[in-house]
Amino acid sequence: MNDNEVNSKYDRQMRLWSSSGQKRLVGSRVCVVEANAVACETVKNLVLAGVGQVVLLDSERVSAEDLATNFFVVAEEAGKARGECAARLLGELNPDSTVIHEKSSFESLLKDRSFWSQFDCVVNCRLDHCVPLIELLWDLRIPLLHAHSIGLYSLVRLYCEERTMVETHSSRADDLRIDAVWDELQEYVDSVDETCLAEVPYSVLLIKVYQEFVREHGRRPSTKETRRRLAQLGDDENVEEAIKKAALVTKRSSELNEKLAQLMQETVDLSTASSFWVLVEALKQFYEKHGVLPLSGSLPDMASNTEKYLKLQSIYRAKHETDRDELKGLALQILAQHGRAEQIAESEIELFVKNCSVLEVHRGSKNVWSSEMLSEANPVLHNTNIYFGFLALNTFHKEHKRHAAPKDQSEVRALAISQLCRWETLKSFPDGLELVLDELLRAEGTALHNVCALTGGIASQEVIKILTNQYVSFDNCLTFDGVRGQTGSWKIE
Amino acid sequence: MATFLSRPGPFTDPEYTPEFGLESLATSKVLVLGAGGLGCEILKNLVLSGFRHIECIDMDTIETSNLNRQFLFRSADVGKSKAIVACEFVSRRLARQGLTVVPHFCKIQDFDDDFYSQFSIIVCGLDSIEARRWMNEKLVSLAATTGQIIPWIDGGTEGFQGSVKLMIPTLTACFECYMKLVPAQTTYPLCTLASTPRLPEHCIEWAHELEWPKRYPNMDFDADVPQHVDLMYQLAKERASEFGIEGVTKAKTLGVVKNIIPAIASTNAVIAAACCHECFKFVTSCTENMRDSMYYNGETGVVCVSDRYDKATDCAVCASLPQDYVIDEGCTLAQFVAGATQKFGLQQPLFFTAKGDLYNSKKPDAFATDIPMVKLVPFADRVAKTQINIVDNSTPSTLKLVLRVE
Repeated sequence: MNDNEVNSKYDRQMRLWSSSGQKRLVGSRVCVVEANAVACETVKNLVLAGVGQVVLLDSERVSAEDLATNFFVVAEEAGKARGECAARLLGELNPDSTVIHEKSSFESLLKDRSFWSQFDCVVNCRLDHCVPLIELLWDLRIPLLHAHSIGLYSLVRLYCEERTMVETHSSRADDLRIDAVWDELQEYVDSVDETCLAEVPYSVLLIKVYQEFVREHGRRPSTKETRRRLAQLGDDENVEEAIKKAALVTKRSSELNEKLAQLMQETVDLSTASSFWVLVEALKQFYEKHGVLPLSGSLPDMASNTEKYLKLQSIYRAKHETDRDELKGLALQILAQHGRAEQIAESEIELFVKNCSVLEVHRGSKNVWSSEMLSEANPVLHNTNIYFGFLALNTFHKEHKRHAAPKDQSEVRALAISQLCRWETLKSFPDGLELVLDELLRAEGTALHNVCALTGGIASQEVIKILTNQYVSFDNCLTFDGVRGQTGSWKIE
Repeated sequence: MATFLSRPGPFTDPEYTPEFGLESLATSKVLVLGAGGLGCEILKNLVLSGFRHIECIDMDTIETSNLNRQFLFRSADVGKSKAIVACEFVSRRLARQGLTVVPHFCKIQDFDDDFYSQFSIIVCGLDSIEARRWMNEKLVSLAATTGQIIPWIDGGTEGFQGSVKLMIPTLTACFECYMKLVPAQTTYPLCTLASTPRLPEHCIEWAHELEWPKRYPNMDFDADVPQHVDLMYQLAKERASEFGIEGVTKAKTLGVVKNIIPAIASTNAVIAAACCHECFKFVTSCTENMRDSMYYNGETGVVCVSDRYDKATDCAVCASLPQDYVIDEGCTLAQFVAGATQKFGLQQPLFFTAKGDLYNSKKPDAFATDIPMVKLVPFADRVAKTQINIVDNSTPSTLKLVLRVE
């Protein structure tokens, strides 16, 4: 964030995703299918955030139902093109964004690859998840969200083959390397003697105690043993901090978290893989050689005098830079070995090294259903019931060209059972599904504005995560239960 | 909404009727506190939920940095009252029969009990903790003194996170009961600021807390005056370069001195919608309400859960309220003590009024226990005029009872 942007209208959000994230939003193009309340609420939040262009694909006319639930239509335009009205009113929210109405029919565009290829992300807000759209966008590698709401319930689903996330903003324990000191750090630790013990950051005290204990006992100290030794150093502020943080001596710098260990096991074709996977391969080679990850280089604030703290900070930073350059060398070597001429931007390598212990990879699925979902072991069974309810209503709607109502109760239940049987998962009718179906039937396909606004809020948030490639997406399905006021999220394999 | 309310669902109270739902919506008066990030959403949501009588209080004027989420405002509105512009906007856009949306460009503290008493429910999107505590005390004391219970729903957000509280004064946990969950604001030790700064924040706080008053003794710092922010930034930058500390920027300076909380439209949309949804359910009885409080976090995946939250037994606002206690006409002190001991699970209680001890279980022989309570305590119209206090090891606060003969 540079100084010109201070006090700008994006100040409050750029404190979350910085100017790099904002730049990506500004340069993005999103397509939203159907100008209903969920869609317009989603678009509202995207336009406010500064997403460059939104195309609203809609061929409906403004109805009484729209006027009752949607803020972005007006009574004077009842019966006129809904998408046009919504696009105009949504476009007014932010002069930096453009909202365009596309009036071609959704069905006619389903085979038009060039239309869809222009987008960074697509949000389908119809009841129908639409398998041909899922297939098409999967092929084009464009992330697709499906979001819809009826009555007290809503669903959001993400279809995307692979998401590799670096800037996850995950908090993690500071990597101080108490048990893996390098030469420059050792030199610094050795230069600290009795005379200046009170002035140094606590990590230095921890390293001293750790090393002394290992020399005497040939093993690493426990937290308790470390505290006992520290207590003898007096009661200065840094000693107190060290006592609080004593458990850091038990952290093994060589240990990888489970996710990362798994990630390094993956085999990818490096002759075509994205720069992310090239860097993962480089990370693996780095780790095999050194037994530790490259240093992130950040140092938490620690009670200390200024000079001693800044000196320590510069030692960690210098090590970070050396590690980063080594990783870069490895990555370039990998590219060369696979006959690839491209480069990886310095900034990308820097971010990768800073976040290398909190990387996330999601592998998506095109499946609308997976057989584990209705098992009794499923902790969010109630929420999967809601999802299943939407599928049943969609099937009904396709067959009858109208929304199911309470009078259709027995038909919808029968439909649900036969649909479940098709997936060969039915042992008994899932617990609570009848109630969920009844609640859905009550609304007869109509929506409540609040549930739409909440759903649009979640959908837009997930689009923003995809466009900025920051934070961690949901993976990959969720429903909102407006009775209990909760979401439940699970993965469809 | 009309279709939805026209019949009950499987989770609806059996006594529900569509007429009740629609009638309540049309007649309930809703008060909205705040017309900012949450408030704009709340106003839109309430009108589209079918409410017809809405009033809104906000003391602030519109700033540029509001425009990325407060969608009822345009750049031409900068400097105008949030409440007035927001209410006019929704009335215009959602013009429908019988709709009145009344703005109040002032503080919530400017109104008295009579004003608040006219509302059936309150939806709150304020950003200040202090204002919410004031409102809480007002609503709890209104419920305790007049018996009028005005439920309120409070929303709050910070970045990707947010929360919703559904509070029914005196019956469920009040805002004060939740205060222990509010994290303390980051502060830095003075000696760090004065002599051993290490972070850019230390340099900024040094400028803000220590240097500004020295350098500009006749000028109070105002974070809304750009020249003041520039001067503060210069001070912090000088401090940082003196110590060799990197990272002091104007954005960071402003963030620290104004204690800026990151905000995004999507979280506000989620939290405001959840507040209004609970308000809609409460007023129409169309289905059950969520449990006491909801927590939302969209940083990693999507987490949205609602849960019970118990009243704090030591709450400074709602735990010390007197409770109604019913006795028989002839109930003696002994019977009252035995009854209260059992009901509240007391161990070795001391009962006393403003006039002195009534009964002390450590000195049982010092009191005549066969006297009827109506003789021991003054009554008027079958309700005791003096409250009875009980202290006991089993509870940290004093129990207060108001006797009523039935």
